Amino acid sequence: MKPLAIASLLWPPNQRVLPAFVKRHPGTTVLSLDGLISQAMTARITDAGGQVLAFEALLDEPARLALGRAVEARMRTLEAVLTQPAWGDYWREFPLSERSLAAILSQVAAAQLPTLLRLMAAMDEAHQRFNLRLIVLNEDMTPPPRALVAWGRSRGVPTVQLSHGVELFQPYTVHADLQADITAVFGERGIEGYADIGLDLSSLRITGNPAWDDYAELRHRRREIREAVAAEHGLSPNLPIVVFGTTWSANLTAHSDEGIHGRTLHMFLSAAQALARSGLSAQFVVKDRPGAPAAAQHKIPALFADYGLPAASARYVAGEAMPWVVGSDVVISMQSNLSLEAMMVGTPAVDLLNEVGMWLGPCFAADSGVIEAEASSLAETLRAILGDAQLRDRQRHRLAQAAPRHNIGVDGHATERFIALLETLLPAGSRPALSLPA
Amino acid sequence: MHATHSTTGPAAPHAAASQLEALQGAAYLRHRLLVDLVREHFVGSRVLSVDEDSPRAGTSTRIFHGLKRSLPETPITWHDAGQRGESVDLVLALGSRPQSAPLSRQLSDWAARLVDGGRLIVELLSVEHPRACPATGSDDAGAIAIAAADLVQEAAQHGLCVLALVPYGLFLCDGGHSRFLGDLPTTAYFRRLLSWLPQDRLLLELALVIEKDVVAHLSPRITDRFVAVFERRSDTAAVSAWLHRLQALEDRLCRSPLDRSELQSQLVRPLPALRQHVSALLHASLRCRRLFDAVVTPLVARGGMAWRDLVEPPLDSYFMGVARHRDLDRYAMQWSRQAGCQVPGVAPIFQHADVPLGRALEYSLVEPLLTQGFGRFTGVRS
Repeated sequence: MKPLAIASLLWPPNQRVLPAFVKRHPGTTVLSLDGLISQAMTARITDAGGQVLAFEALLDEPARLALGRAVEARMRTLEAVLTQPAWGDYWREFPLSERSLAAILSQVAAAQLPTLLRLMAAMDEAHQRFNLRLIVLNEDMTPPPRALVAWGRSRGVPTVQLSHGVELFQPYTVHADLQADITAVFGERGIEGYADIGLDLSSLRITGNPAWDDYAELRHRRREIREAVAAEHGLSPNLPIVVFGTTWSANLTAHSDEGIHGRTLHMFLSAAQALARSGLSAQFVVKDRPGAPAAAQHKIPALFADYGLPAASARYVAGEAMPWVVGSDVVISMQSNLSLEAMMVGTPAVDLLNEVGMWLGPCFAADSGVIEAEASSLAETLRAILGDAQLRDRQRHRLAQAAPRHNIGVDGHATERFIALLETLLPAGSRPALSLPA
Repeated sequence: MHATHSTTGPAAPHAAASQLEALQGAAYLRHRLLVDLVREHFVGSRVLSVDEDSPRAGTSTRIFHGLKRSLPETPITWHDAGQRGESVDLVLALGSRPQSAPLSRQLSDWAARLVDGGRLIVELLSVEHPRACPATGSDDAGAIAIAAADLVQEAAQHGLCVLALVPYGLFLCDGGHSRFLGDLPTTAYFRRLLSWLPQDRLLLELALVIEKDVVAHLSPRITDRFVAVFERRSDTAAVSAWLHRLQALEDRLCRSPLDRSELQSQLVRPLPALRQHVSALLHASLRCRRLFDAVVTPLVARGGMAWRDLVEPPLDSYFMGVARHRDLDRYAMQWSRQAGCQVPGVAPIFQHADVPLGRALEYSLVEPLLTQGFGRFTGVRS
């Protein structure tokens, strides 16, 4: 009998479901991309009774060499096909030349084909060696997960996408489809965008976000976390902490703004400057995304000085969001799930409106508790939040009321719900009993 | 089958005020519009208000609160139309008319209650409404919606002469379609946008300008509902003339492109002033731009009007730019979904056994198309 296995492309914040699953299914091998699962998480999976194996380890050197030759052969064929009349005929009505389109496809194929063919070969090998029961992903759009979904469909292996965020926009271009057999969303709000564009919703399931389960407990430790994050970054826990979560442009829609990172950063710094000049004592934190360019570490602090913000009251960070979400007084972001994380713990949240966000949104309703503000009113909005206790209480109340709709896992049990969902896709007899919260 | 409220006499102010606070989004806009409509056509002091058959305080109560008037007596429900009572100067029938209440009988009963020269203000769903049932013959017992012309003719039979018939509720858009504007959003994103109406002064101002300065003066087929104002008097000639004007108006407004002079002839405010007012709001507010685009794009798309007719430069270029972005997104979707799998000879190159990998390239095909192909981006992010 082949050993049980699941394939996982889950991102680190959601990998907690893996040891939870393995604990209920001891002996499971978790197949994943090399390096995607950290050593610490590998240890947790091992402790739970499983093991981690990289896809890459399933292919020996002769197999890799053969794949390389196959890629070369396919690329030669592609180059030939792109010069055939059929290519030009197909794109005759398209507003770009067949030659420019051919160049784009050739460029993308050269970049993606090696990875995809290796992944397919690895999956075939895995299918031979293991009883491969599930494929779990955090998105089904980029080439590797998309290929895994297609592979799973051809082999009868169920694919489950655990959304990596609430789809706050109207889904556009690459987002405007659902590929996986099942897509787990966090709450009713996560269904709206797909419903708006007329997609079949039958593959959607509401589980909540396992990556946010910790917030259920952390919100009761606000003071402790605030003091810790303040101490770590040389801030005072006794002064307001205002956190700005940056954004960046994926350029996957023509509405995108390549300069949005800088543009919105300057909007925030202008507001911070106005507040500082008005005499408000507050501390301003620019929280960049993990993986932000290293140059930002000195460029952005230099901007603080340009805006006259005292060195003691401004910080640039690029680590995890969770401590800042819990420990700060207000979180500002742009049409981001960061507002929802703030919602989970009752931290006042401001959505900084901008062109892109408005044309692809709007993202928040008036009763969500998230305050929307344009750049021109950001300073005034922050002043009101920091200075008006009644306003803060009112927003916290609205955030609390809106939270389950955005993430049913506000109760801290999304992991269990997701595991239960996975187990519905396993054959009867391989599902141990699981009690779920009401 | 009397009062739907436990209080008699003046409406409890705290209850009505809290109900106003609870009104959100489009419901708040509806309230504002109805208050203004009723205020404009209010006559006398003896009022019979007809409200929804609901345990909660209904539309009439809120309207009186909005008018800063005391509710003169406990409202009756639509089903109580047959009950006799003292003569009144005004009958106010607002809110959802239940399907089982025959309109013909209601018109007869309300007309009987009105003094000569008294008025009936009634809110009805238009045949454009998605819940409209086509009336068969003269039996409208099953119809909760009616065509404006049919209503006017029906009312005339009961001695009620039309004074005004005001389309309203463009943003309530249950039906999602207007003969004038085309498809309207009925989606969650649009409801989220409208939810800010009570709090966003500029957004509310734009919505009121569109409703009161434009929509209210056009054909009742534009919206899903209308408010009709009748006066108790017999004037066959006036009714005929009104019906004739309505038909002519509907004929003119459905032409494409729309004749601006025809449109101006219907409106009270000069088009240039409206254009200036709207442009100022659009400059000041992102939400206003989103709302305006959602409502007007269908009209522009079918050639009814051009952006330059509606907004001052450079806003016309701005909205055309947004439309261009949408076009580019459509091209991007077409390209990315087809390039690797639908062009003859290409799909097999990306096939692995029975697994079609061509669609897996979709994500990676979009940015190069927008950047290298259409020049929308430089590839350099700040």
